Amino acid sequence: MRSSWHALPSQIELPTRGMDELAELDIVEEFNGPQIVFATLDGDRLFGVAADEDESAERWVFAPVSKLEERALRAGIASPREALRKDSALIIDILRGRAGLRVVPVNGEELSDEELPTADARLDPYPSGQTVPVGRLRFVLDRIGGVKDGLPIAAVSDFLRDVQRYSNAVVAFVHSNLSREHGRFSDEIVAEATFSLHTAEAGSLSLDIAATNPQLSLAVIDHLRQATDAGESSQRLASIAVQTGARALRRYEDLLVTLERHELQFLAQSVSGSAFVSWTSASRFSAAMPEAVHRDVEPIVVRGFFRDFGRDRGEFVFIDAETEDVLEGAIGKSVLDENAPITVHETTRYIVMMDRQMVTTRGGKTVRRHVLSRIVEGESPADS
Amino acid sequence: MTSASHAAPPDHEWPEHFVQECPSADAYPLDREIFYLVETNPPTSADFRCALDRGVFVEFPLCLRVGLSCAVAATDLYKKRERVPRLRRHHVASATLSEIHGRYLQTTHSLYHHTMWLRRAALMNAPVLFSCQGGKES
Repeated sequence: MRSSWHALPSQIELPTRGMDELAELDIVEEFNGPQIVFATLDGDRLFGVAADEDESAERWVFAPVSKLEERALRAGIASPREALRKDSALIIDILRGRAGLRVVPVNGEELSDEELPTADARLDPYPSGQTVPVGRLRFVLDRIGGVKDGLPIAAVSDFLRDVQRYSNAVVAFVHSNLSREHGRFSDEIVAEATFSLHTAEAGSLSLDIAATNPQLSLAVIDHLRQATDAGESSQRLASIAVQTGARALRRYEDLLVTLERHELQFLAQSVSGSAFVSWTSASRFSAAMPEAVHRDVEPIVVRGFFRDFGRDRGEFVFIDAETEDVLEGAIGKSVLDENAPITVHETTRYIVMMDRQMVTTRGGKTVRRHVLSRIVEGESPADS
Repeated sequence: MTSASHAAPPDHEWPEHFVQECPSADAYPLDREIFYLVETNPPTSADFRCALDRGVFVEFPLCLRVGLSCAVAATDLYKKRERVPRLRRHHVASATLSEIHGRYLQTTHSLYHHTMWLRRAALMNAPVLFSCQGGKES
């Protein structure tokens, strides 16, 4: 073997199993022989890649996949590398002359780069025949092993909440002039979302979110695709933060945490693109995030009201009306010099511009602080 | 691609392990640059062992097993190397081939996978016909 295979336990003696135990073999990549396959072993649907070989055997890496992940892999959306980086992965040696199999359970997260597909690799897309109507975002939820007993309401509820917040953050950035589009997507998610179980594989949950303005759906799927494609690359996540603001990325991180908590995976589809992410990758993806969102200064624009405005102390507390985020920090010199009267009350709304400073601590925690740079009186809740 | 015409060289110039009517009538005469993955640079005869030689694809038709996987664009093979760890260190080789060398056809469900059937002389000379892209560093 070329690779050192550190993930393999030492001194293992496993019985040789029959070749026919690897059933329902479906070859999806070949080069003078199978290179990537789906197969079934012991009742589990597996995805596998040819990883190494020597005179005695071909060595494959396999891992269990859900029907949804299989679909996303075949469509060239899901990452083959991430599909294999699970703690329930298997190294399967196929003995020369098809003399049998040796199956060794391993933690796929301990496999080295040379034993796995690269981060950017995807299968050549195989058309599924499924289409999503223009202007819609379709999220399909699943778990490995399916959701035979149904998805817990708490899981669906958390997922919807996070999708809503994430979509808002992306749309807020796209429409950073705080036009009337701001917040519309959130309303539409509440008003227009439909649960359409019949469109999903049996046992999965599919829900469509229809936006009146199709551009909003495109903005969300585009950001989501970039974020999932970035995987655990802090550099690429940082680049997204620079392009679209750290806020949307933090909402994406919240979504990852929910996936991990409820052991969910989702396939997001639209006419312009698709994205797939599983809870098995979520913790690694979110671990890359604090470094990624670290920025010295990021300008943001927020609508809301002041809870505190201490001109003498030079400090303020501002509430984001949409997300209810509490934004604290220092009042900038330009605002102090302007000396405009500020009303500290929920009914007096402002549009404020501030510089957000992100500092990553040694413990990996991100501390944020804001410097207020401009205040414009906005419409009151009664006017909006 | 040009239309398939099955003129000379005669069929007996196919390797002996080819089955009758192989390659099939719908295979096209080679008429272009073909890309191929090889383990060693420069290529050796071991790089041109087909699935039959390797004892794989046993459930597939024999005619497919005696052909060699190839691509009509180098990019397709670079992508394959990224996806398949076993092929990661392989080199992309290419050769400009013509009808005298054999035939080829898109095979499997992928648009990017082709099979070439090299005539006996071309198969023997394949390590010379094919050279690695960008020399030794490909």
